[in-house]
Amino acid sequence: MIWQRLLTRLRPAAETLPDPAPEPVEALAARLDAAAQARLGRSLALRHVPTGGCNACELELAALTGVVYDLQRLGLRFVTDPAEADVLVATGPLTRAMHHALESCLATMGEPRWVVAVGDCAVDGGVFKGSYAVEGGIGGTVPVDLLIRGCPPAPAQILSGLMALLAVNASARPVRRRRA
Amino acid sequence: MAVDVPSRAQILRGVMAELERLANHLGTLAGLGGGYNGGRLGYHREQLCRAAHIAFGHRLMMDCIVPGGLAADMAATGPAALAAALDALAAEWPSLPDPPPPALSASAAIAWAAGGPVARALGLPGDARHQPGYPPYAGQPTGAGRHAEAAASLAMLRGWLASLPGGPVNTVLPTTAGEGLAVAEGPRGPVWHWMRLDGGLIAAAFAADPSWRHWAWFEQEAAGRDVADIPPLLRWFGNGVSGADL
Repeated sequence: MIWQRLLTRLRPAAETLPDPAPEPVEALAARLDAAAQARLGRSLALRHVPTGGCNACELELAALTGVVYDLQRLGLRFVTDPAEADVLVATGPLTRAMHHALESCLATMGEPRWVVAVGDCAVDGGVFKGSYAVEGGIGGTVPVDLLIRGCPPAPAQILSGLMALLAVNASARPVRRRRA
Repeated sequence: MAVDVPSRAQILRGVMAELERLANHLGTLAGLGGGYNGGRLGYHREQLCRAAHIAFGHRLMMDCIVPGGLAADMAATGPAALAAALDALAAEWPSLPDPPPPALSASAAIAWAAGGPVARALGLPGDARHQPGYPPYAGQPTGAGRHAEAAASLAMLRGWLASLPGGPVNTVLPTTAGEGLAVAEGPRGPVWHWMRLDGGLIAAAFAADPSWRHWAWFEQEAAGRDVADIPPLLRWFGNGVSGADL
């Protein structure tokens, strides 16, 4: 390979490196860990499950990805694969048809994970409360970590709730792990 | 049931309906457009929602229209806020693209009784604003297809807001019993409502979202297509996911 020949010609013969001293390595690893938590930890992948809302919450969630709110700049992003997701975002009163989809989405997500109910419907059924077609909120099916009320909540409200999760995630120990 | 909705309420209902349609079409076109233009369309959608919040107290104007008129009159700061958002959009509108429609089957659309901008973009007739028609749309061109309809909504809104009639915005409803069917043209198509009243109270009601029929049409159109074509087709249809469940 020509690049290998180039490299050997350009670089002087490398000296054998001594083993690194153990103490500085530990100290550096600790510092890197803290820095990584502060930077890389401030990133969450969101999986949206529309559990039968009227589409108002969905519209406001979609607005978060636009140029005005631009949630990517905060380290938040929507993903399609639940196995990639840290946060399950549900909107809607949970229609019976979506019960299984919600459960299986959460089951696919690795720990640690959060569940966010966006909008009054996902919180307790909202205007659909008492309907034979809905379960009246997602709380009876999956454990909910964060409630964002509103009919629908404004994008800024949703964003401030998600930023609270970011803060929790950034300070969490140990470093996040994913299920393969 | 004879109810004379005051003319100011009729026009403001039109304002809200067209604001909703315009915001929704901008959102859908933003998803289809992507890149810079998608960003601009999304930006204008947000400005319209903020103006609607100032004018009517709710970004999506939910619960602002009630039987007999409006829940409340427009805020005094509303006309200026709406005019600012609409003027900014109108100034940029010529440079915003009209995405080309995918190849869809008109016969399938007819078979599923499809309506709304997706069916009209195929050249199919039918817009509840004119057939059967309801105020304040008489004599107002409404366009066909999302891009043309958004432009028509923009023109209607600016026209109405420039000459808003005064007067009350609601009227007292009679206490009555009976059954009725009504249709309104929503951003996705005709929304049908059936209702039975008993002693002035709602005894039973059913609202049919156009997505209920459009999902069946979508399924037929999606069959046999490349998987990569499905996401843009989904965005083009813009179906609501809940219309079929509730």
